[in-house]
Amino acid sequence: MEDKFKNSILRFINKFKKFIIKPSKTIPDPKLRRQSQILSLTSFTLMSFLILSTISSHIFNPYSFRLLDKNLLIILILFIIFILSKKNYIFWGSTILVWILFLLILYIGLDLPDMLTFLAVPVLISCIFQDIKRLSFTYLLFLLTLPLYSYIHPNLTLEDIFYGIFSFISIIVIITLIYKWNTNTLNNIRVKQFTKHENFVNSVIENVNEAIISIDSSFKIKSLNEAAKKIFNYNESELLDKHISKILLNKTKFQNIITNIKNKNNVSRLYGKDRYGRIINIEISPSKYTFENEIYFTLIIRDITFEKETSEKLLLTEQKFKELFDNMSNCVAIYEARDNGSDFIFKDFNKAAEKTEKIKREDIIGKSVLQIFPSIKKFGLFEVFQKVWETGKPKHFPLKMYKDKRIAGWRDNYVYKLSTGEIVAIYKDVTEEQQLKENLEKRTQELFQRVRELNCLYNITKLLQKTDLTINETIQKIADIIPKISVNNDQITARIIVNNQAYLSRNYSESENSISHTISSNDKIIGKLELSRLTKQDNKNSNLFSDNAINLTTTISEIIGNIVELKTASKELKLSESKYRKLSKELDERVRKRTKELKIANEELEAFTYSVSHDLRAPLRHIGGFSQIINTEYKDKLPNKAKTYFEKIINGITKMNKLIDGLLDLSRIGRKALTLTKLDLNEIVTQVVSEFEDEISEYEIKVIIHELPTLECDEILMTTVFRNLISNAIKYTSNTENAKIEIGPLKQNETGFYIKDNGAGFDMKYQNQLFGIFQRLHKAKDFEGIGIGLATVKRIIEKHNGSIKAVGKPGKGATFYIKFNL
Amino acid sequence: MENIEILLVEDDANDAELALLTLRRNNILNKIHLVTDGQEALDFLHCQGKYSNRTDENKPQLILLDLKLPKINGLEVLKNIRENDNTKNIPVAIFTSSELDKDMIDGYKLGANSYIQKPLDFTQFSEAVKQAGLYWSLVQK
Repeated sequence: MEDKFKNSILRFINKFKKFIIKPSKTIPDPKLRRQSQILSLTSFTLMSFLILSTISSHIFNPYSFRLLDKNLLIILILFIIFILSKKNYIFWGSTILVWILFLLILYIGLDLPDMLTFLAVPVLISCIFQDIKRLSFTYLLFLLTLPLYSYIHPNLTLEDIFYGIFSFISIIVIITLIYKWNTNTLNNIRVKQFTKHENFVNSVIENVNEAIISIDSSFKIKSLNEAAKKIFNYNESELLDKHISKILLNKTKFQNIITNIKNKNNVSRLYGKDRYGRIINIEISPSKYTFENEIYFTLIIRDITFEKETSEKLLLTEQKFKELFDNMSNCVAIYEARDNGSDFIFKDFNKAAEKTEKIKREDIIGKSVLQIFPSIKKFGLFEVFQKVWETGKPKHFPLKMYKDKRIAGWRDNYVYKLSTGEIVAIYKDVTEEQQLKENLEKRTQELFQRVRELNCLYNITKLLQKTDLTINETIQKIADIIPKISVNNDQITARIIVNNQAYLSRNYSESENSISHTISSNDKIIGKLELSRLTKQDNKNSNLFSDNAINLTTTISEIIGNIVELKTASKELKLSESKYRKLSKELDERVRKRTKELKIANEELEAFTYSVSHDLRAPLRHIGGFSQIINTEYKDKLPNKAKTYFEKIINGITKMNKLIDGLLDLSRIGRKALTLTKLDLNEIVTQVVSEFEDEISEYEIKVIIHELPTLECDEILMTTVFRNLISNAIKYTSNTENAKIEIGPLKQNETGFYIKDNGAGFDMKYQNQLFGIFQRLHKAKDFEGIGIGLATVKRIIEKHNGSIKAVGKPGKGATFYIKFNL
Repeated sequence: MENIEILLVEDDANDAELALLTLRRNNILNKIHLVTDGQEALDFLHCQGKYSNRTDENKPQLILLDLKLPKINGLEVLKNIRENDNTKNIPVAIFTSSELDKDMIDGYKLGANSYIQKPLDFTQFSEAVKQAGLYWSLVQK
């Protein structure tokens, strides 16, 4: 009961206290709030004191009504101040107001004690706030008030002054005591509350996961909690008074955040860094407070690195899965079982599957697999789905052909059950590979066949080089080679018919399944090649011959044709060759014999010429020599007639000598090989003409020599030509008056020369006899000569691959044209 | 002058006589020795065989050499003369009726000094002697 009362009293006091102390909610600044509290408390206390003192003075002194009036006024003023203190008014404002009121009261006239009591208020206030400035100011005012007061009340006694001072002091003491009591009480309550609160706050601050850091306006760290140390891995001392950038990146962003701090629930993401430089993803919520005129910021920092990583990883995993799902080359279908595994509904379908099944994902999601793949039960996969769904064990459904009205292809399936209960079929469309495999096998078979065929062809071609084989042997060998192209169960046999003769391969037997090709040689059909196929197994396809086999038949037929052609030709060739060899041997022998004969003849001729020049001449020489001696030694003793006869003998011998010389010259030209040199014909002509100087001057012959060409010829023989021609010309012009001999070149386009005289000339009808040996057109008595000169000239010219022509007229001279064909 | 000797190698007696006659008639009074075949010529030159009594000092000053000789032919004799140190400096004039180029060329090749055609013509002979550098010692005028 007592407690209850006590409690109710306490509650009342508390409420009352609250009423008195609790500052207005409209005052935001905690410092102002506190001032307002004190002001209200003080004014209330003063007010109640005055009320009490007025009541007591009326009780003890019923006369002092004036005091009552004054007191009521002051009480009113205090009440106003109290009310004002509850409102959002600045302290200074209220203080000034008080002073204005004080001056008004002064004017009305107050007792000194009242006056001093009143004055005590600001002093008290100043004391409470420990504001020296304001205190000094208040005392200054007080000191100023005293003379003013003495001026207004000149009859002031010492008693009054003491009384005033006493009142002043007493009021001060009372107020101080009240205040102190009040403060103590308040403080106690406050300290209790505060301690409780602080403990709570501390425990919160120290135990939260968020770092709580307070910084001042220059961003220096002023306090921090445990979490902050943990997050940033620093000791408290390492961070205190350090700039916040020690633990925060994005300085600019942080400044922005601080500048825009007004917005509540302002959470920003930033990057921090710890002692080891690790980057930390942080979420920061700043707030601002003021303490002792300084602005501070509280930063609540959350380390979201892990959160961020986790969420990012999750996102990435999902993304990866999606990409994998859509980009994998294998087809993936995800099903959900329905009705206890009696149906499976499409839950997902990847792009590879879309492509393979030629169906869109959105068209099948939620539909039954039986609807989309109607043949799946027949295919056998449905059963596997059910089994996997029941047992949870994965199963491989090996390569099989799936076929329905819409789609067909080879599929290789793996079926799994996911932890979510869904069934996954991972499969592959191996239709193409299957086809490739089949094709490859087929191609390999074909290639082997080609190799066999080529080998067969090679062996046949090789037979061509065996020259020792006859046609029959060769064709038989070909017939034996052909069966080697046979494959496994097929036996291929051959029959070759050439020139009505058949060549069979070893195990030949007739078959309906055969192909043949004609064999031609020299564009004539001479037979045919027939390939038969004996198939042991009843394989329809193998009953046909492939294009290659047909080509092969054609090629072999051509080769056989060629072989026949070649062998026949070589046989004939051999025959004609032997004939030719015999003939050529005979010819060789004949040539050898003839050469030998010719050699002998030549030698004989040589010997003959030699003997003519030596032996034939010797007796002549002797006859001439001795006749000469007789004619000179015995000149005086011989009769004249004998002398004449001797002279005739000598003449005869001279002539005979010339004749022999001429003949020898002629024969020598035939046997002698030409020694060709480049010769200036002018030089030769000049030299030969000089040999006949005597005759030319004797017969007064005019010799004209034109510029002659340079020729490649035998010097000795060409000199002989000119000597003969010039001596002829001299001889036949010797009886002519104004004799003239002209030597010159042929016309421009011909190489050669002419020699022209105006002598005896000749009749053109004897033209052919002119160059014959021993032929003479003139009588010996007219012109001496032996009839060999022109024959010699002609022979020399012809030996030089040239020709000679003579044009003449009796009595009008002759011209010899000598032309060389270069 | 007397030891100047001419060796005439000539198998044909008529030719030899005609040559001698011509030389004598032209006042060539030197001793002229006649041999009638190649072997005899070589014997004479090398003082061997029937000429073994001869001495080298009396070797001929000029040889008139016919090419067509019995036993050893003229070209071989010429070759021997030129190969032998004792005789290689003796002037040789080929004395032949042959005008065949081959004979002439062969003769010159083997070292013949000149060429005299039969029957011996004194003008030609003088020329040959002159060429051999013996003119003044042979022709006495």
